[in-house]
Amino acid sequence: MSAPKESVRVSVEWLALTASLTTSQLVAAGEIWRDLAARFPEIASGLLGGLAHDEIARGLRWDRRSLNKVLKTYVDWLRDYEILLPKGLGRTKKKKLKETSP
Amino acid sequence: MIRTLEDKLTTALDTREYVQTFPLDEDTACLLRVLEDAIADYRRVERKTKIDELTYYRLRGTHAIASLLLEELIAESGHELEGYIYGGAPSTLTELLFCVLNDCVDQFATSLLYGAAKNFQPLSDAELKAILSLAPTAQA
Repeated sequence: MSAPKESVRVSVEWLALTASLTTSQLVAAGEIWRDLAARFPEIASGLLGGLAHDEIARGLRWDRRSLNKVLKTYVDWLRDYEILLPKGLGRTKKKKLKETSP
Repeated sequence: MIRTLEDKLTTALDTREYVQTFPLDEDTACLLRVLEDAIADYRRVERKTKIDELTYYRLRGTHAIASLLLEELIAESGHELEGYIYGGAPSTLTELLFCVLNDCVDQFATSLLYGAAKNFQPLSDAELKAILSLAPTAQA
């Protein structure tokens, strides 16, 4: 009997995401996420779908500044728990994109 | 062959005692974490207590490690497992590790499912990824 490949793949992703987090930080991240999903379900849905912040703002018909204001609350909340994005996950800097553009 | 909770706990305890005599490297440390968490979880089941949220996240990480160790064992020593059926008495170290890791992966998967359904709503991989996308980036 071997472990299903799919479960191993998901496990690896989970390990990579949680590599720099403690279990207490994961509990806090859950609380923060649930607050965001309850107060701003459209934003949560956009983030889940991997949309850029500009796209989420357009979808909500908000200006980018209003969205940033809301998101800053959650960024600060995450920072309070010292929850940091593991290096190399999720973000590509615009500068790098420009450098690699033809 | 059905392995009871008592069988699994006894095997995990014996294996932990044996593994503690190995030189400590990364694999040994991971295996010891898996065994420690499995033993604690078997005892939790014996006590009939529910899983809490902190334990859920720890087990989720340990489940991932156990799955990877099992996958590596099969990839590297699968040929030594020919003729061995899960649940039978292991006669080599490879068979013992295969048996105990299978026990652990099954146990963690069951506990995670049970814990998730009963007391709280844990983050899914996608939700964790979404909320972490807002987090400040870790410095080098």
